[in-house]
Amino acid sequence: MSTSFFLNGVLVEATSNKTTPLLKVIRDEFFLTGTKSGCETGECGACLVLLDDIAVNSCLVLLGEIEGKTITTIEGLNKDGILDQVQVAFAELGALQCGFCTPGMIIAAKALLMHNPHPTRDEILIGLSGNLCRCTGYEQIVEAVESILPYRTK
Amino acid sequence: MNIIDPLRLKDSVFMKNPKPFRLDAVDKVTGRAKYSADYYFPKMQYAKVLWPSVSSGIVKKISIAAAQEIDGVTLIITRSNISGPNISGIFQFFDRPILIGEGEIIKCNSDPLAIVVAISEDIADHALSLINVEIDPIDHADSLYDALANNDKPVFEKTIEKGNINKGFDEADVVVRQNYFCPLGEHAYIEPEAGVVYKSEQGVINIIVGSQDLTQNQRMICKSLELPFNMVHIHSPFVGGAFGGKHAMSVQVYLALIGILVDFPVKMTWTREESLAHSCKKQGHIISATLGIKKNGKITAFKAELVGPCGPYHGNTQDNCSGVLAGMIGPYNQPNIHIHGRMFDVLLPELGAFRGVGAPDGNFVIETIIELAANKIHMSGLEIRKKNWFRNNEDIKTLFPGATARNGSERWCMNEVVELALSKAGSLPKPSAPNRFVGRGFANASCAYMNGNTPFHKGSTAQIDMFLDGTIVVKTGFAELGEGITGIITHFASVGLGISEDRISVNLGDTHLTTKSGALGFSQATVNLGNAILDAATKLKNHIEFLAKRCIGAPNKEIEFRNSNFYYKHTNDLACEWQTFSDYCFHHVEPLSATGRFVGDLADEYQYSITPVACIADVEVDPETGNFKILQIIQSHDVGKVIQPESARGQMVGATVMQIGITMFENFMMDNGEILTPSFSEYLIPTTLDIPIINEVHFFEGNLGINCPEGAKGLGEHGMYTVGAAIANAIFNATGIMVTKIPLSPETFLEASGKIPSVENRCYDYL
Amino acid sequence: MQKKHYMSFHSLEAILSKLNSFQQQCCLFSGCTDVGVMLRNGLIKAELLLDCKNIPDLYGIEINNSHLIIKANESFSRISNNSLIKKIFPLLANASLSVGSPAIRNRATLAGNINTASPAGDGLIVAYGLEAKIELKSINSSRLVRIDHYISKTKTTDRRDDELITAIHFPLKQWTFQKFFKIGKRNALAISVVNGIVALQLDKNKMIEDVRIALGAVAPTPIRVKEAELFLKGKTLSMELANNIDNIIRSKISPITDIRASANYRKYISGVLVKRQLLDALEGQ
Repeated sequence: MSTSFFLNGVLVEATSNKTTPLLKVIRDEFFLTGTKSGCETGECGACLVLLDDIAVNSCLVLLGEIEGKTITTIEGLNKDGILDQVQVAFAELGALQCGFCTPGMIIAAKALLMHNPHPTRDEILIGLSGNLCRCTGYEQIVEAVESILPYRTK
Repeated sequence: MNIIDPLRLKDSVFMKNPKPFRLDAVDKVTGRAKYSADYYFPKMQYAKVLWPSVSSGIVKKISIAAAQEIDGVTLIITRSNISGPNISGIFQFFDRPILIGEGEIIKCNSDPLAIVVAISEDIADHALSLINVEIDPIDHADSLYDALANNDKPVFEKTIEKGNINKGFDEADVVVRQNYFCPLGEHAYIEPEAGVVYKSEQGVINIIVGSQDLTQNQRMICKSLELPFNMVHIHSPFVGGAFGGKHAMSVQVYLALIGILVDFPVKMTWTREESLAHSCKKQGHIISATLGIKKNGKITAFKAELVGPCGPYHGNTQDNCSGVLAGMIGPYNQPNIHIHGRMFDVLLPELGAFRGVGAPDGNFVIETIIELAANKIHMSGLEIRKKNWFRNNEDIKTLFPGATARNGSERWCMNEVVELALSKAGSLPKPSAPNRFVGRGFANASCAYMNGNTPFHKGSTAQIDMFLDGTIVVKTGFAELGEGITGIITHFASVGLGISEDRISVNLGDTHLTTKSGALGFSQATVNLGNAILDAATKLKNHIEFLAKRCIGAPNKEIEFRNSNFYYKHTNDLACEWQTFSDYCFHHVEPLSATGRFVGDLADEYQYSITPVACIADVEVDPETGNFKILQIIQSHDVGKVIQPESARGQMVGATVMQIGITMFENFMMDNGEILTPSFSEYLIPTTLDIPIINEVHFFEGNLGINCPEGAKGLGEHGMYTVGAAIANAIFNATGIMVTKIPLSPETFLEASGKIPSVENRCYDYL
Repeated sequence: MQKKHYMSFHSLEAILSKLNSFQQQCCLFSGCTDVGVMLRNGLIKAELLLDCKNIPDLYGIEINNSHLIIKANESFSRISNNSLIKKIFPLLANASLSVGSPAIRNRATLAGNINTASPAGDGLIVAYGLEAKIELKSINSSRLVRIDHYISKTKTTDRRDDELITAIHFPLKQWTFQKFFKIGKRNALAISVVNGIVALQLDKNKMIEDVRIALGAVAPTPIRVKEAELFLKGKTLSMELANNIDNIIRSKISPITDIRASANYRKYISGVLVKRQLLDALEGQ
């Protein structure tokens, strides 16, 4: 039995078992490898995707749960090849090094800004507190998010 | 930015023409960047390793029959499938088996027994559970204390000695003694180990695996499995963090073994638990240190005794231990030294290189014991340091006895670096509440890295291929681990050839398609690769200028390549237009390519570039709870020229947070061979809510090193050295309590301040 | 290899009927943040995974005359943002914000946290301290169970195999002072080393009319330190009282040493943290 849902704006049918974690479905069935597996237990945030408009650890979402729902991965953030502001800021301001945490981090930042368009630095830190980064020490990541606040569009 | 890239940056409001800070940035923010686990092939299967359930024993029987019956299991590989020598390892040490067979001995929990290949990961996992293994346990020291109490012979022992230690202590007015404990640690890169193997034409075994040293990996795989080098093609895609932990072989040799036996692609991914349990670890140790000092602040003697646990395989044991020992000397011209270290075989996974290779831990000892001494003789720690800093090349022999160091310039800019840090630190803030105390801690270090030398490779090479439109691709064997080698490449290629960076692309990390670049680590890539690229650029420039002269039939004219055209030298007269040149090369099938090489001066094994580092930490302490708030960490470095500012800053502030983790949270615990911190739930690295309020790094361009391209000495590990000691010293300054039991947590603070009882580690009895 | 089946339900009747027929073969979940990890680790024996999230009756945060009722599907994100909760039980909003991470809070539910019954549960300790009642339904029954009866042994609940948690009822009470506190080994994604609540009802002279002191991660289940509560009741809040409480707490709890912390540290810090809440209350915070 297949599961239908919207994946980056496109209606798809997944044939994996409905108890398969969404992370595996995104990667192994749809070959969207931007979403990463770092721990499989919700402890690192590398697997973050948007489920409707909230950020979730896709390693802890079962495929069956997302019937009819909307999933946005890092690949779905750009609109017709034009990058989202968060992506631009990260790319310009050195907010990444090895890049493995970056897709999850960008999704977390995007989710934060969707619900709180003008967060304080503390709110940014809280918004990203579920995303582990071992390379950057988070400084340039926070600065990248802060840098776009004056220019925030929807 | 490549203008044909369909994923283009939106017109940024930040600047007119949005520019990614580095060539890999757009790949990484879009998810286009591929890492080892991101490769999928038709008919690909999955492999899982069977790890032993005990850490020490003799294998009586391995029964795979039940597992083989499972639908979807293709192959179960055991020791009997290995026809050649069953030997593998790390760096130049071939001391560990690939698989353990019946009648053979398991020496740690990372000695695998079998590999299952199946059509899905779930089936492979299930099959693992059906393999029955009978093991007779063998008694083995499972803790450092056991090894010491049993009087086991150390696996590695080293002494650093200078002068006369007893005489040194006789001369001292004050003697300070302190014990230190540092647990094992974990690299904790966010990308767990993974790889894919597939066969291609001519039966070549292709392995995709994130690695810091493809040259070494290929050599080791081919020797282990008796394969010709040209039949083992290894490619490293982007690596999701390494920090020294991906030099060692993880999935590589298992994938190669699978590649010999099957024809379809196979992927192996390690779970986080497997990565924690089986990848190489940062060393831990117990140290007892004693410092003798005169009332005028001159250090007269330093003695330290170190014992530490290691596993049964020793690819990195001696480097890790040696690193700590040498780190304890600090940037000081110490007259009398006796530093002795011993490593003992207990039930551990292999030790591996961890960022800093022990020197930050050594630095922690000397920088804190100086503060204790300062307290006793009523002199500031900074003043003591200044009186004892080494000042010239002669003194470097203290740091590396036996070294014949030559430093490119006599400028030793430690003072400038310290002044820079102090000027940025501002004044100490007031406590945020009553009964809180704020303290400031200082620490310094000298990071000395051998130019043109890593322990295993004496340099690097790079190849530049130019296309007929003048764009280039740089090919080098390093992979991009995140530290920014891509930026180094594009910079030096651009400077070397005089072309803009947007005409440069890179091919990285491939044994067959790129040149040999050596081990990526030891903060050497900027020097080794930068020089290699400049060499390649020079050769290529010479070559195309030569061809241009042939093209216009003027062999005796002096021509130079500038602004993507050819000019008569020292004039603005165009000698040859690019299109003409390009057509000429097209018709004459001229390759536009050059290989560059840089190797450290082989006549001088010990040339170092020295980077002085200073760090100031402000910490607020609540002495009743032991809770800390790190208000600021200011680091200053003289790394010579900074090539890529965002990457350089990122590396340093990232190192600050990593070292905060190592010093204050991280504790890789084992008991009797069992791992007590098996996942990211137990092994805790810093989150955004654990970072300092202010985390800054400042660069001073002082000493430009020896043989350093544009005077860039390199960095990467340097940010690790001083942070731990600065924090401990800040807490000491705030409260009078010096905590030297790592992790430096509220609990260890309360123990040190006597508010809760503590039990002294019994190992100290043996120091 | 056991194959598991996912099932979704759109009404309470439907899920209760399934539970009734299959009982131990069912594993209920909503946020999947605990169940997801256990599934991945092979610790779920049940074959059927029953998703509660599509049942409208399981959503809602409302009050009646006597209780604040939080339905089972309410996530920690929603709880921490809810104006009723922020007004009546701000300590529950704060406790909710300390769970895991934003992405975990978007999915994890208070009901799930209670049902996992870890002694370190941050939502659980608030429910414990405030004497919440757990509403359980089966196809034929409905009951309200006191939290301390619901969880009386480590990681074990009183839920019968045919029952579903439908809501958590918090008795309405005007607390003059109510605080949740937590010590973790880091500031996010941290399992509590010690957590707890202190709630005080004070008269205008700061005499303690009623008090709750609950501690988590210091015993196999969350506990109320009843001796400390008895000691405080009827007394006037003072510095001396706060200092005395420190000693009483330490003498009445027997935490264990584990990889996160030693028994000595847990004991010590529990006393200090409870004392600090009283001192904060004294200062009118």
